[in-house]
Amino acid sequence: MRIPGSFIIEGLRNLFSKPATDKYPFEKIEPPDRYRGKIIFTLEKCIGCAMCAINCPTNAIKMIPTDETKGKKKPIFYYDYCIFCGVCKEVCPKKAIDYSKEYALASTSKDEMIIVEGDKKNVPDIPH
Amino acid sequence: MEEIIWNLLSFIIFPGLLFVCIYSLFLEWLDRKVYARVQNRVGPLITGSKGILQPFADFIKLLSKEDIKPECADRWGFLFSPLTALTVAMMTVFFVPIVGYQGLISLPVDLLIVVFISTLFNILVILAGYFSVSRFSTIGAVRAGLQFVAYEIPFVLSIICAGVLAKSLSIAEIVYAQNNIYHMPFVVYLFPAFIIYLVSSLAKLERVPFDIPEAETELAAGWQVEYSGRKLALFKLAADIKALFVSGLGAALFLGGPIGPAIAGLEPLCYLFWFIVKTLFIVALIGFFRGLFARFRIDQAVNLFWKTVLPASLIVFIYTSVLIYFIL
Amino acid sequence: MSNDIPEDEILIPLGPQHPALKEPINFMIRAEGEIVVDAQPRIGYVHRGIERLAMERTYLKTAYLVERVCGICSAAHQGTYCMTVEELLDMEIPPRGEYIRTLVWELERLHSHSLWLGVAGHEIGFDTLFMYTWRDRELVMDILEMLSGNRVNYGMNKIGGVRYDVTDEMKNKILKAMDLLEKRFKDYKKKLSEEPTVLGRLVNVGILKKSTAIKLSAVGPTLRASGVKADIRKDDPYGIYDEIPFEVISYDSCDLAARVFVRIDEFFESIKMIRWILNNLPDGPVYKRAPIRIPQGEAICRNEAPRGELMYYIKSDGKSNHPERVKIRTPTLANILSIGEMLKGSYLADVPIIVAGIDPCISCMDRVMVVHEDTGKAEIWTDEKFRDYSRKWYKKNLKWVVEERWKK
Repeated sequence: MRIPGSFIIEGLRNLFSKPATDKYPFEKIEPPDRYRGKIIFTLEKCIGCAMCAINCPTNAIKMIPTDETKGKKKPIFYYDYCIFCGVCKEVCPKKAIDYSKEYALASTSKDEMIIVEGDKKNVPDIPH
Repeated sequence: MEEIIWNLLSFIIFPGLLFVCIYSLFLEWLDRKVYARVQNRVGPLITGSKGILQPFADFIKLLSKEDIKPECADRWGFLFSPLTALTVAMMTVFFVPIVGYQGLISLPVDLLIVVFISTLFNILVILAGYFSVSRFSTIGAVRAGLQFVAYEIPFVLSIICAGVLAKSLSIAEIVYAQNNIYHMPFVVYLFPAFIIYLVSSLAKLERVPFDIPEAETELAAGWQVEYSGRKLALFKLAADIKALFVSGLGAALFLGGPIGPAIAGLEPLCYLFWFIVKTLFIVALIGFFRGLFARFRIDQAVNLFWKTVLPASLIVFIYTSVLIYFIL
Repeated sequence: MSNDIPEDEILIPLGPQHPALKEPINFMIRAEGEIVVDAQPRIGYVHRGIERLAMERTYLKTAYLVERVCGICSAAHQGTYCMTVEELLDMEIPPRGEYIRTLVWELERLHSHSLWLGVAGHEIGFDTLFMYTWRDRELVMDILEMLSGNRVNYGMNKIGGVRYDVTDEMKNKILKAMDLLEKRFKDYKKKLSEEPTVLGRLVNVGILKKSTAIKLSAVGPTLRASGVKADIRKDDPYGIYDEIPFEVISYDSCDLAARVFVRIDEFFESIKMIRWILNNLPDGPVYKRAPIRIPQGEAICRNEAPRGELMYYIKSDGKSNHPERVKIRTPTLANILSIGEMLKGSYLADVPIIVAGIDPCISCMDRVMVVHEDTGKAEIWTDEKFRDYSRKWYKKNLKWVVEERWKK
């Protein structure tokens, strides 16, 4: 009969070595380069073509005219509907959308869930 | 009069109820930390420094949760099972020597009496599963009963071997014999009996590989499944106190009790220190072995105990008798 | 199934909520003591209506919807969908795109099999194996995050190719990680085949004979552990699978231990395939632009997901830019009937490990089909028929609903 306990050497080795856990709130890790975090939108490059809003899989982008842009429509991003897929960055012809590496995005107020350049009045609460 | 007050204080505070509760929760922390390190992770970390207060936090959280009783369950049985289980568990710890050669209670044949009282706990487990009328708890209670039949005989035989070597069945005299007659802890003469004692105590405490009665993935907590809130807190405390009893008894019978080199005059403190060191060692061993095996099925566990461990313990008993009568 | 059962049997619901199950599914088990006599599965607790949602979205948006059918085999779903649409369009994607698509499929097979090994360890009470294999799975997740930017639901495929490219530095990191994984898993395989507590729970448990497996249409490693060498990658090659050298693994013992070792050996085969792909990557673009209008037609594609054979059917009417019908047949749906067979005659303690042995992915599985019990006929209901039925039911039972369900 075989004696149980084949994992005993590995168990002893792990008992005296450093644990494999990253202690998250005390040590933070940097995500890799292609990570898609919070959206960074550059207002000056945008031409109002609305390709991002047409192609977004969850319809999280809405085109509205704001005061600053004087009538032409610019996109606003709702990132409680966003799935961070990366399609808007791919289809934008002027490369006005980019992603940062910020991943701690949970918040308790709906106002922080909307990314818009300029003032925030006349902004509807949900995108559709 | 003074003596009555002194006795009452030592039963309630030290080394009685309060010390036993706090120390057993500390032992649970060590067990969880060793188990986690074997699996290459951290274990309790944040409450208290290095997570020492985590078992206390768990106990207090359970005390504050809602207490639900199922409709079909027997009212008085359901209420009194956790209380009686805790009482029985605490009573067994009073016999274990903590500061000195004898425990709080010491009788001439107290080895057998303490084993009998710890057996009562198992019957209470079966009743607890039976009183909470639920399919999972009934199956858990049946499995607890089967496992109890399997491990109890090797447990008692390995303890009696230590008694045979000391020519007495009183725990105080066994500790005295190890330190003053043989000058060597019994684990040197009785190493196989110590191994059998450890294996049976894994089954007694319902730890992996023998945590069949409360298998989490199969039965969703077995015989404890309908208890919640304060009653579950009492059951968990009773399980921790059982761990303290098993390790204290093992330290007393095989490792020489709480006696060690001491500074004259400060004897109770030094004996307490040696008690803590030896029980920490046994609990760390149990926690280490917890992480190395998979769980047995109930028929495989019963087969293992009746076909392998029981004959081994009989052989060890015969060997001890030969040792004491012909050689020593 | 009637409610009166003999006196010495009890009815145990391995219900929608249970610590052994990761996703809700119900088995009504009739047990006599510790032996299981009969088991009936009931599904449908996680139905999300994905096929209906796909009918309202354009082809590009459906690619992201379909990826979220399952969290573990998400690249397989998205890749198969893109393959089917490319077949409707009758276009070939550039070779570098094919190689990278296959690379992500094999990396996903690695992560899925090590996840399953940990879950199997947890079901038999061996939590240490669970922690060790999930620690090693983190290496694969880090590689996938480096390649595509996300740990699950990668979004690597699109119609016409792949979205991200593999650089040389990534290639070196992947090859180094493969060496480390191979060493660790060889170690686990050796130790698992020697440990008697583990083997005692796995050998001769959950037997599924070869003829029964073929009759009940089992797929994937469940079928290959019963001695049948069936694998879509060899039987019906798609993509570049006719160029890569690999072998189909099968074991003959038809029990749970065979399923464990089939998956561990497939792990090693996937590592070999990844090394071959990385060393033979052709140059060129990874993506070719696809037309927006899909011509009229229907197409079916099959793929070997980590759990078995996955099938997609897409019908397009040529006029609008959303699909007319998308039908998904996932491997777990084909394996559910085998569980009922395997559970008969086994111990009650073995029920969780047998259910986990087919690697169930219940959220992939739920689709609705109506079967008339007395005639035995099956039919698919359309939208209007469903709404009609619900209106009639509420009209008839409104009083009961208001009193019983809403009275609290």
